[in-house]
Amino acid sequence: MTVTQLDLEHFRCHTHTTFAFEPGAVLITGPNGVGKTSILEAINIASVSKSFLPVSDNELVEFNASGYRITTHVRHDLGAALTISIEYDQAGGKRISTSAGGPTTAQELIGLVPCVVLTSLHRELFIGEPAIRRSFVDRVLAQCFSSYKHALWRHRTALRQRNRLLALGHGHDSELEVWTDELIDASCEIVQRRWQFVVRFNRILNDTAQELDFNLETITLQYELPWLYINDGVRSDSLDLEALRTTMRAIAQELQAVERERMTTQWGPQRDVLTFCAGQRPLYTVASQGQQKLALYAIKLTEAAYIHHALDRAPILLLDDVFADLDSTNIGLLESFILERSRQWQTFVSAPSAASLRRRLDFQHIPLGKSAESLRA
Amino acid sequence: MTIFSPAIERAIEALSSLPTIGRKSAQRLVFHLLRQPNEQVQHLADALVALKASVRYCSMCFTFTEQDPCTICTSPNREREILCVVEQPSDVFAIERTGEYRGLYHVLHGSLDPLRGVGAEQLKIEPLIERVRNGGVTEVIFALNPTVEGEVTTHYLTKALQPFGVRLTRIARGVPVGMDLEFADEATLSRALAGRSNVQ
Ligand SMILES: [Zn+2]
Repeated sequence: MTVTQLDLEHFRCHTHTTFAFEPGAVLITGPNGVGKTSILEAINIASVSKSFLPVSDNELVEFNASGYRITTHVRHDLGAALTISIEYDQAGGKRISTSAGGPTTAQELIGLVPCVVLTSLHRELFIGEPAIRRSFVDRVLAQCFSSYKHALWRHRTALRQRNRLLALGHGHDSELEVWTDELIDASCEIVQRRWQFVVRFNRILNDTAQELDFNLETITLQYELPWLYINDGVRSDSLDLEALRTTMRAIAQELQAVERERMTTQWGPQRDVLTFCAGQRPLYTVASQGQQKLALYAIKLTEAAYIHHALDRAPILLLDDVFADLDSTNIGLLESFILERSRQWQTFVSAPSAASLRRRLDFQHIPLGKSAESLRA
Repeated sequence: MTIFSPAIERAIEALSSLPTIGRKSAQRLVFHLLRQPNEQVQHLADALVALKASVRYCSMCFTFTEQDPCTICTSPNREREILCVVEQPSDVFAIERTGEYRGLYHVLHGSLDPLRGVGAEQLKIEPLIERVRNGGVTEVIFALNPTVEGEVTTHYLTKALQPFGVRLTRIARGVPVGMDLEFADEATLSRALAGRSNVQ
């Protein structure tokens, strides 16, 4: 998909600005506060209805305005045009509509214009707690498969309800049994999907990393289920759902006494461990800052390829300040790669200036000047 | 801080205890009522008192009724060997409006929901098992809400009713609504950055 035009009204420091974009790589430059990141943010809002930064909608509204409007014009890979309008009003809330079918919900919006985002926050993918990598995987899968979204919802509900029953103590055995069944069901679906995801993801990641060639051992996303301590035939190449179900049931049975004592469920995909590794060791322990940055980019390209294949729609890449903290060799490497891949996926890159880029003329360059700078910054 | 007289305050408090009525709406309703003629307000009060005095649960199906058993349970035109299990009396009215169903009902008054303190004994599950045990029922249709709680309750009842050898079916439902999951890994990232720990 291609974003062809973006109209911003009272969004961050953009009072009334229209941008036209071409397919390929778009480079947005300018000093801090001129609204480079806001352009990427706006496209992300058109994709999933919210910003990729931890901000509320009120904070996105221009100073002294009562709301913002983002109108995004996109073109499908096959040529059809689509307009997505997100209107936010401090009093009335958010309204989403598309030229295809009028008003819509955030749920329905997700997946329409798939986006892959890379910001400095993503370094947490390597050094942060496992929950961050679980939710990374969940987000990709939920965008691609609504059945996965449903399984996550069932799992979360059943887990909470079951924990409550465990806290209530004895005398609810037949009820505990049905919540356990529900949790096993949802857990099986989640584990199976995650398993399939990781296998496919690693295949693409391996190819991508080889092309990027950043002198690291093979990068993989390793998937472990430490809570699944009985291993009867479960951890084979093709995950056997029936074996998994039987094993989970056995574990649930065996742990029941412990669970009553601790008043929480001791098994399930909420305890899955995902780790990005180089060779057999966690990536962040062996990779330099520069290598980590390139590895993140490789992971995001892999995410894009996965989504493209699953949804049969080319995602849009949003790379916020990716050249920061890189030496000139790595900047050159990343730059070439972005330009090459942007033929497949339209890529938006923000940077303070184009000076360090050798091939800056190959980008569609949008310099934001001081004139656009707001007093708010 | 109370700026209204005690009588107004009492009315606002009573009204705002109703579902979907916030304090602001309650205030609006109270001032509206104060502007109405006496008879009108008396009429409303009488209707509410009569409602509570005359409407009760049907002793067979547990829907709301003014005569016990209810008109559905006593109708000679219904197929008495089919029971449709629903969560709320409002579900009975919803299914009745379709005009497609000719059997009897059984209202559970909720679904299994430990977080809200609802277990099997808080629901009309025992009377349902009793009805099936007493015979004359050949089919039980589950028409509970498409929530995780509704699904689990259906599962629970299926297990409980299986020994009686009656036909157990469920109505087809679309994709569940009301999912409010957060998928933004960015949100998780920012939480982690803020130093808060994640609950499992
Ligand atoms: Zn009745």
